Amino acid sequence: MHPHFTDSRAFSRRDFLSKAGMGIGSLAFLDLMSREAKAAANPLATQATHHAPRARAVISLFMHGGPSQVDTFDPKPLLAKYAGQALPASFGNLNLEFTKTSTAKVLASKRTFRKCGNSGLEMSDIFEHLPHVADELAVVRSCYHTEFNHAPALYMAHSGTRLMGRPSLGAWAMYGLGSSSENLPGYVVMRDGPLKAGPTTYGSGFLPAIYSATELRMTGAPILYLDKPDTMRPDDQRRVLDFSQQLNRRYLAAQNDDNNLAARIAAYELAYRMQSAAPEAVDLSKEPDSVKSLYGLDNDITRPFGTQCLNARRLVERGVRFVQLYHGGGGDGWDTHGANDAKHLRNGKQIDKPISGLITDLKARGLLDSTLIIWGGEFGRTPTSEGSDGRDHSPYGYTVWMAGGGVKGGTVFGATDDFGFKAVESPVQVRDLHATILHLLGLQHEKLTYYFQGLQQRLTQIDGESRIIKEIIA
Amino acid sequence: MKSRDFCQGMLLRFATGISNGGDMSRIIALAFLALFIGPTFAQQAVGQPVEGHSAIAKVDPRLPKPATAAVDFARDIKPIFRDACFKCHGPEKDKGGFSLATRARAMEGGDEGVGIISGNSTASPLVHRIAALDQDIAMPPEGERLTPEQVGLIRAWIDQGAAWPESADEIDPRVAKAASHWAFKPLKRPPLPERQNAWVRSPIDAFILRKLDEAGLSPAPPATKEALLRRVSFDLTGLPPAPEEIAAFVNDTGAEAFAKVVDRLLASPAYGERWARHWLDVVRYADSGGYETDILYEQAWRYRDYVIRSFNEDKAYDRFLMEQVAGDELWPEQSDAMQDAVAVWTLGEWQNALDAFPDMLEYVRRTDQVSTLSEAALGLTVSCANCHNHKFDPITQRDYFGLEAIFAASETWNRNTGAKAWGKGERTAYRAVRHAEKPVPIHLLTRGELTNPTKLIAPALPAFLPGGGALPSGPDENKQRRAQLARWLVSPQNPLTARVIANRIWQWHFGQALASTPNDLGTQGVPPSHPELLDWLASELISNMWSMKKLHRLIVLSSTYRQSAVRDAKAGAVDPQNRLLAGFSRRRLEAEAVWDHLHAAAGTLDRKSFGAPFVPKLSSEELRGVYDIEGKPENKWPVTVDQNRRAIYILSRRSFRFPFFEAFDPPNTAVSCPIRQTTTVPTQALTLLNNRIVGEQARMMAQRLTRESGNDVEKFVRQAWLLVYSRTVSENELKLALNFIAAAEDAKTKAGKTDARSAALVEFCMGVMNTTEFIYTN
Repeated sequence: MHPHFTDSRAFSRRDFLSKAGMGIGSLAFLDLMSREAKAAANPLATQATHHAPRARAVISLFMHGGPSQVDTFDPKPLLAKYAGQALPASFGNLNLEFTKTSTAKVLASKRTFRKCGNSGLEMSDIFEHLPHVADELAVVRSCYHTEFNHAPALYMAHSGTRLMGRPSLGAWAMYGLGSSSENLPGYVVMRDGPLKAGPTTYGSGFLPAIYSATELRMTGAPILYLDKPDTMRPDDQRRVLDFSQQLNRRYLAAQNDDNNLAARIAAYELAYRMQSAAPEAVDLSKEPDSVKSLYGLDNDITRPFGTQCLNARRLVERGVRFVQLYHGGGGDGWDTHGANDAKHLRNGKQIDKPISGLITDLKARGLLDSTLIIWGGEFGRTPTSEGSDGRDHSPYGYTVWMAGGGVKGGTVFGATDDFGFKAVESPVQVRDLHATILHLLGLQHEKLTYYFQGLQQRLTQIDGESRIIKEIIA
Repeated sequence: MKSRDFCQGMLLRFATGISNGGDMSRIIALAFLALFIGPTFAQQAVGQPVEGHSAIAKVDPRLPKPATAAVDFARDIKPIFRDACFKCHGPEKDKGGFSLATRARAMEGGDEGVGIISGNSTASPLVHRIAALDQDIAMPPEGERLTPEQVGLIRAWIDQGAAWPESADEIDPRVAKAASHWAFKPLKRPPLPERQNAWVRSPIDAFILRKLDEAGLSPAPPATKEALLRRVSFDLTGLPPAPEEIAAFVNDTGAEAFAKVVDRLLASPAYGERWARHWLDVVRYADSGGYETDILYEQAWRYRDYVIRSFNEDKAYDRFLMEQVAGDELWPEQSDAMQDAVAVWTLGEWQNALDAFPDMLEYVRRTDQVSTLSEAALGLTVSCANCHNHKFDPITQRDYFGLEAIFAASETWNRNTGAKAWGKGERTAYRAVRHAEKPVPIHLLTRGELTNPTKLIAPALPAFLPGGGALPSGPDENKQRRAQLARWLVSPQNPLTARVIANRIWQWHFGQALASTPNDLGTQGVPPSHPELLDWLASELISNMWSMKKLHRLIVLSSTYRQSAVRDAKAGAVDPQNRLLAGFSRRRLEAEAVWDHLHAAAGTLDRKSFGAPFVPKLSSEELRGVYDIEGKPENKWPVTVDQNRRAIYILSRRSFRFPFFEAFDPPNTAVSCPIRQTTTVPTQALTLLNNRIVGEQARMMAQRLTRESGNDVEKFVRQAWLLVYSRTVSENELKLALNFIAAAEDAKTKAGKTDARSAALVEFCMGVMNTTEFIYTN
């Protein structure tokens, strides 16, 4: 039998209602057979993990546009030596968006790299504050995939395939773990502008829509349709809702027990609670100034991303499972086809203090151990120039780092070649990253499956091996 | 087993592996090489002795001599093949593309060319391999080598003309298994169950009752007339019954009352607008290409309209399918109409990132076409076979690429520019189908990678199905490939087509299909709960000249369909999924039906049919998700004057879904979507509570009812109940509603509202639009 997520009649109403608390359940190690069935009964109930989790929540810091590895975390002194020259012919002709590997000239990084923290982890001087938390970071320098255009690369980074409309990592995590927040959606997205691949990027694909992300907005109502219409006051709405729910309970009784009808009553109450819980979650007015300044909220440059990061911490504190942040949406962001250095300096300034503040704050609150932080973009950039001072897209060797949630800090894993172009030492595919992240969340990637198009689909795809990067796990 | 994602991933991995120059020309060169050299080899292989073959002029003296006696294949040769070769080159495996299972496959050779040259054993590469004189190419690579006597026998067999009677062919066990799989067996009308009682109105009921009997269950009592009318109205037209229609049906006590309703609904233009939406899901319809540019297919709606019209005309399903598959080839005289039908092949995703790699784009397009065709029309998930032979299903890579070759003779072109419809910079496109000047030669691709072409594959229908195999060749065959496919799809020998659509139609009426994986009736799919019923429905469809309306009528007039949605406790316990149908399955309305119902209740629904999609206003908050390469989201969402038409006419973009639909499980337009999910999420509640549309429609509904009821609040409520729940209000409900309105009015007055009564009535309308029953049928 291939269980499908449709109306569920397999569970008694009592069974459902007992699960419908949607609260933090104790994590038991249950067999996997029941996951889809359990998800069908109450899709948001906390699910058992496959093994003891290292992280309970994820904050993904996504650098939209593709940050340059050789200007951030992957120093390549050789670039200065060969600046203006062609790459060795051995690079062949990798597919790039706008330039040609064979004719492009090496572009030196103008950045200075420093050894930071006790670990001596190297990062460039676009980061002023991040070095203070260098010993928390595990930097994977050998990430690679095949997609050299934004949209397919964004899908790849999120869903493990270049195709549109596949479930994102956050949706899989929700499917695997359920929610642990009573009043907030479990998978939240915050972004500073639209993504080049649209909202599908962080969608739930073929997984039930309940696992899709809820976008938390930085201005106006934090959630689309969260705000009551202007004409309605709070007690008006409660009155309307009470009336509707009265009718709903009558309908439920008349229809003689149906989980879906009970779930709808619960969903309305959750929605109602969200209307106050979501604004509360993103109301930073009660945060002390010291905390605001830690995230850079006292500065125009750092405030936008700092606000996202501080909100992320507040959401995680309130039980949100997966927080996906985007920096660089809308404009050119990290897509530095021209003025690569200036834009990296600009971007670096915008994210530096917020991210170091986030890590510092989570650590001080004892949350870093259980919160996995991921930093990276949809690809990296070429070590060669586009125009005089830009860098083209390059998925052939780029950097992703993780911190907290079971990660071994102060680690560097894998390497690119001497020019920082291609992953050559311990190459890491997107699916390896995904397998590692799921592993830290207590999920085995081969076992987290969903039946679709005739196959038991999974985030790490079904055609090949995925390697959990044990070397970066504490 | 690998997924389509993976397979496409592989072929895209290829895309990034191609360099901008050299490799591509090599591939093209290879293709041409195969094209021109292929037939030469083939001719030789068919059995003309090759004389004076210079390459093998010097025969290694160590090569075992041919046996002198007459050789019989079945007696002397096949046992050798079976013991020594079949492990890798037999019916189940064809390593290197080479198989000795059948004569046809053996003579065709493998990836490295022909192995057996009939009449000339010294020239046959196979002989040199099994003789194992050169260790690098020796076969078998492991285990015992063939003895010189065995090599001699094989040499003699080849020299004597490689006779191989068909009876000695070895059949792939997967193919043998296929013959016994329920969906691949010839369709036969099953005998009707003998069980009869007063409940049994039609053969459908007899089949259902038999299974209920076996499970010790009984049918639920009939639904109330009001519930039945609401159910069948949404089911057949996607709209609620009007209050007058409710009254007419309730008051009609004649035996034919329900049949009259059904006939009225089937004759309504709303029927096509409802049922076209089901089909559009299956063929992954959208108005744009998705990905970064999300290019607008500005005339895609012509296909949508074609589908609506076809349903309304009750176009025979076989004809409907043929027109879409090959209308341009079969009825060229109806050029425009048929272009609208075959436009289905132009509406897949457009991966603009591949614009610079036209061969890749064409490959991706064919992949979309093959998977859409096979999932939608054949109910077969074949995409796995893009990369490898399906481990469980009999469908092979050859079958897959055989289908691709059918589509390889056609290309999509832009009617606006008259150019082939690929290329950077095209922002909108009216795309149609035409024949390529030269069909693209299709090769079997190792692991589905375009860089790994092996054998040239001729256009073919899946070989494991009756009537399958290579398409006939001949002059202009390339202009008849889809026509051949279309004829085969609807031919009496095709076991799938009628079953697939009968299964879907049942699903669209009852919420779940008889075989609950409607896009996969293959060996991996879920077998039907009522196999005889499915076959009976499929047979009935064919004998009614493929009339879908007749099938609807048959189904909805059955006692099975007319049951109440309230099942007894025993049925709930024994059959929690309600597969056996001891009662009707309550259903939530789909996203489009929720939209239509809101507007119908408010009396604002604009019933204008057909034409370009309309684009509802969005708030700036809602528009924030739209990406536009030029930073102008309004370009992607150009609001129209029309605002209140039926939801099927709303612009359907792949990269940005209409926000109102988002919470109500809209279809995934990337691939064929066989089933709408039903999830219950808090954002549904937020959408219905706070979306502008709902507030507006609640206001319009209150105004409408005030107009219709004067100052009579009780009449207002009674009428409202008919509009939102399609039933008469009960006395308790009436009390509850009146109390609410009074309390709301009181609160409004206290808050200093001037028109407290009107505000209270709007609140009441909001309230009922937010109830479960509003978006359910039972």
